[in-house]
Amino acid sequence: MAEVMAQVVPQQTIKLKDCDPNFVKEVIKAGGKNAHICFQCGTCTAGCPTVYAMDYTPRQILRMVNLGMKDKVLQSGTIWLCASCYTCQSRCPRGVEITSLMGALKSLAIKEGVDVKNIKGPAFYNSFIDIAMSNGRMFEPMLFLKFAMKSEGSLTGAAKAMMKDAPFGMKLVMKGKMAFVPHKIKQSKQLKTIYENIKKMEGESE
Amino acid sequence: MRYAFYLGCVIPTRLFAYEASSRKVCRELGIELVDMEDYICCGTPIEAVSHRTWLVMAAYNLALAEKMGLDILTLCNGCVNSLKKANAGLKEDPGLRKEINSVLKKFGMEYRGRVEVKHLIKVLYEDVGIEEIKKKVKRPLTGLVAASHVGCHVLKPGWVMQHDSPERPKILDELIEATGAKTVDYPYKTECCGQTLRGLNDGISLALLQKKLGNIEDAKADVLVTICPACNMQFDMGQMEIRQKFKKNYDIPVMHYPEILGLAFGIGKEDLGVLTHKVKPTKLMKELTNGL
Ligand code: SF4
Ligand code: SF4
Repeated sequence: MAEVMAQVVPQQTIKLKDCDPNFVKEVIKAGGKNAHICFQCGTCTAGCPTVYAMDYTPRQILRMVNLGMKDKVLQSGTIWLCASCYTCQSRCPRGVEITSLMGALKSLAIKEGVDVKNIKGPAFYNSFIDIAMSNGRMFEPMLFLKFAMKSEGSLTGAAKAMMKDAPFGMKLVMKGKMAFVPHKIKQSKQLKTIYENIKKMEGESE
Repeated sequence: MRYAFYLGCVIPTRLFAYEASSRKVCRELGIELVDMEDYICCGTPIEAVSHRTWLVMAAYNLALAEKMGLDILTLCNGCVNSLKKANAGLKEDPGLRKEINSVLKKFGMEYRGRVEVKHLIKVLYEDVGIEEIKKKVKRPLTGLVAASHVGCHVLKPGWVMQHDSPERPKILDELIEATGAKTVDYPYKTECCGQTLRGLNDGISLALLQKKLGNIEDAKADVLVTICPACNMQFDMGQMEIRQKFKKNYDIPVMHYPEILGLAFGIGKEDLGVLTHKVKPTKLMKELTNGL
């Protein structure tokens, strides 16, 4: 694997008028516990397996969150490259829940409708929610289809993308590695309302 | 030893061998698995998109186990991570608990923080113990060299998971050695396999995988032992993909720990589902049975 160093961000002036002082609070509320007490030691960056591909390192993201650089953070590719391995969260001497913070940033980016070119994250997560909420459990063939529909934006695009993966998917079905019919739990109808309820709850408490 | 058995989403639909071998070895060791009816997804992949929804989903499953009056046993790193994190978070924050319970009430459920969650491996190590396991070994896997990949989510964050040392885990290796096999160390043993980036960024997912596979190949392991459905699929099916894309053939069989244990107990390979993997452990099986 190519040993590419994380990009060094050129010196730049941070304009306070572009910063949102409430951003760090918003991030903590969405799951990024202890974000405000980061002391910039860089332990998180040092152990991160995907940092070589990130535009901002985890440590930089933490600094930017605390400075309120909302737009830059939410548009960063970093949040979609986090593999949720929890190495940083496990090692952080300040107890910053960094992995959860990366998740929180994903949710905020989706909520703000941030459109990042070539990043499939939002489509992926939204497809997941649709299925888990209607079946109660995950079901992968359906995930493929929904995800393809959302990321390609149309049925034809989805069909094309699916065709590429189809032989693999079919092989899995035949090997018995993927079930053909989703399991639906008894409570699935009520479960659908969970998500709506919570969305409302999250909206109200802002 | 009686546990509420939480299977999660992936194992029952895709990994027959993991479920079958786990049930078999648990029976052998006197661990009673009571299936949880109507459990739901543990919430892991939703955690990123909606923290609250994840908490409700995890708490729902915890409440279900509370109704059964049993601690949870699970086979999946993702599930154990989700359920344990939620359990810890809800126990320490009464306000949050109240908020989540107001949603659970709609399902006639209540989370009270009365159960614990354990990975199968922890139950084997703590409840049963290495010595008891050794007593049951009928066909020691002498000569087998195994590399282990514990996986991130059962280990980290260490202070919540309380499973093993997050930086130098030893439980799985000790359990492998109880079967008579040898274990080998390799660089970046605790690093991510890349599975979580599947669908989001396949290029980086495969780069992480190749880094792991290269190190395991150099360590000259006959088999890679996993304890997580996601890691297992990444290593097993990922090798097929790497062969197609990069014409590189690692040919490292990847097995779930209970399969290895089941073989040592003398359970038949068909009963354990050993041959359902993509990378066939044919050569390995031949060597093992020759040694009998
Ligand atoms: S390890 Fe923790 S304290 Fe150190 S830079 Fe990262 S988030 Fe901040
Ligand atoms: S959890 Fe994400 S940010 Fe943290 S070390 Fe792992 S990949 Fe990097």
